[in-house]
Amino acid sequence: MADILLQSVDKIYDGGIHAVRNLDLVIEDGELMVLLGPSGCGKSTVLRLVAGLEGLTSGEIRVGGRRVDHEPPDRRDVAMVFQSYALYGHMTVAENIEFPLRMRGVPRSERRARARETAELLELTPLLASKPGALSGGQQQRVAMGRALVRRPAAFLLDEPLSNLDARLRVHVREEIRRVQRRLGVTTVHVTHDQVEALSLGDRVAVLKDGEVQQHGPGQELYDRPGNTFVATFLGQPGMNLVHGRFRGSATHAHRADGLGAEAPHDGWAVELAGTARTVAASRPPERDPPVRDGDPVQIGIRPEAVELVDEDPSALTGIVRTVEELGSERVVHLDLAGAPEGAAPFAIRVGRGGASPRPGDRLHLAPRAERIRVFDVRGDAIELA
Amino acid sequence: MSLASAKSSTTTAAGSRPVWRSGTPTGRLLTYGALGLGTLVWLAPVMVMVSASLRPESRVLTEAGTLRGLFPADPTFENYTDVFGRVEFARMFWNTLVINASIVVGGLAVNSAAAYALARLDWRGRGAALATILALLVVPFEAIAVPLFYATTTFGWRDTYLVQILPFVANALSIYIFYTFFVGLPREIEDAARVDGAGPWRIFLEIVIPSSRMVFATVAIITFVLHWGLYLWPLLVTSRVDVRPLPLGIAAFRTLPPVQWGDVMAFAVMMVAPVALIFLILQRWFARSTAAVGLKG
Repeated sequence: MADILLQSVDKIYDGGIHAVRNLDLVIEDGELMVLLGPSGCGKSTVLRLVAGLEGLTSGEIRVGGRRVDHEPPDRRDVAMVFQSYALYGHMTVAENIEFPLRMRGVPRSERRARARETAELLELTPLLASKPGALSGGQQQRVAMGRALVRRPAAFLLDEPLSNLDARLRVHVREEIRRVQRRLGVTTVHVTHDQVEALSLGDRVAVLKDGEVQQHGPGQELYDRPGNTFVATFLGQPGMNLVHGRFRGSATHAHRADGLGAEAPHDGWAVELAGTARTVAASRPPERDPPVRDGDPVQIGIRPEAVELVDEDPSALTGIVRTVEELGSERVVHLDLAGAPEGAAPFAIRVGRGGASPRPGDRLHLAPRAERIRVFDVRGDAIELA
Repeated sequence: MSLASAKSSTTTAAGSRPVWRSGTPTGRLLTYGALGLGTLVWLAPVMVMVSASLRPESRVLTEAGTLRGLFPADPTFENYTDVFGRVEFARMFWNTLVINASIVVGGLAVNSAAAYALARLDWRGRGAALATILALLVVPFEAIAVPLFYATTTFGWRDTYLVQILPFVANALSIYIFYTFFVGLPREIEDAARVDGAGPWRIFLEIVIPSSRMVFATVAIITFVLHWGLYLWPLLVTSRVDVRPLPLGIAAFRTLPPVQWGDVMAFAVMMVAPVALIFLILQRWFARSTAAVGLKG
């Protein structure tokens, strides 16, 4: 097993498409790192660069401390599972699993033994004589895993391996991947555009956009403390609500806001929300002097589940229900915030089944939980206030 | 709408009906009539040829064009035995078989490898090479026959199998068909093989070829059919019967006195039979592959 280091990695395709920009990432030995991002963000390209299927434009890739970016794919000691599984349709399951060993000149008896061992791990033994075309999607996926695992590679690269499975099977195979990865302790890079998959599988998650890592860390940390508005809105279903406003006050500059009568709590801070004549405020002081001045324009991020429905209250936010999504265990309510500018995205909140049953057109009063509010500057970068 | 009625309306939708069952009865009758007429036009010469070859020489011309002639009551194979007695048919058949098999096998190897290199490998001049090959598709063989004749004569290759095989191994049409197919193959399978440790040749031999049996069958049939009836080139480069193929044989046989049309028809049947047989064996793959690579007719 080994760690993977990507240092200042750039990939520019012919035609000038900059697929990966100055990427720095370390995947620790035995860790499962998920690369998450929308289509075209460069996450699969990163995987192909590590596998050696694409050449770097600049930078450095090391696997287990050994520089591999000039090595062909077969000398990098990494194995890969593809989105389509890429099984060899004319070979049986056993032949598919044995193929990488045969390419390395492993004697036949050892090949057989290792293929059987791998098949047992993945519960594929009864299918060894079958051709891939006769298998279900989940079984094909396991064969692809087996072909990658049989080599006992230093690292395991998974390129959206669950995207061709139905929702139910996806959950099952996700657990399988986690089980096998934990049992073998193999360093794994998993690429996906599915945030549920990313948050549930990854020891850490790296969110990519336009070829750049936006933020990386444990999934829960990214969800709770997104580093910028892209991560804030990309993670979560629906994503974090963003509302424009002006920063008011800090630990050292308690300030009476002009015009709206809003005041930063003593030793706390507040944000006056644009157009709403409302303020959200925290009584905690910022841990350090924030890189934002009193009166600066900012955005606040509020997760849909970090909002409570309250009775009519002059300090509460008010919204008119636009649509209600019934999700079984809960509802997602999309509202137009009172005073929000024309064309603003709806504000989403989650309401449990036991709670209110709002209907389109209803007026709701909302109280965001101050401790879960994130503040972003005008460029969209998070301002650490606590 | 209930589930049952939804299902019912789907199965009765016009779009789900097979083509031959769609339309009005009159429309279907016209369709079948047109198809039947087309079949007759294509089959009539073959039927005339086969039936003439099975009639005694004395009735070949007298019963030509009659229903009795088309379905002879007492078919005979004497015309077939005559052919073997009058000319070296077996020798010419063997020559044609060797020459064609070599062109097909050599062509499959060379053209598929060339097409794979054009479709998948990254090398300087690939675009120019592909453009040149595409341009060669419109150059008729007759245009290069004379320079080729001089070249092969200079090499001293006249009256050999080699001179009848080598100019036809590399073929622009075959490369184009293979190229079209290989370009459409999913890259991920080859990428997987690369990560698994296979080099370009291994990938080509162990992954690409087994996945491309349909297109190999198509190219084999096209190559075989195109070259089985080759006439001009063998006429230019051969003078000895021991290396000459069947098309030259039938041309000479047709004017060999006394001219016996029953024998000529028997010769023609025996000459055409292998092509029909090969097509019948490979037709399923051929049909699938022509659809896959977008070939027409």
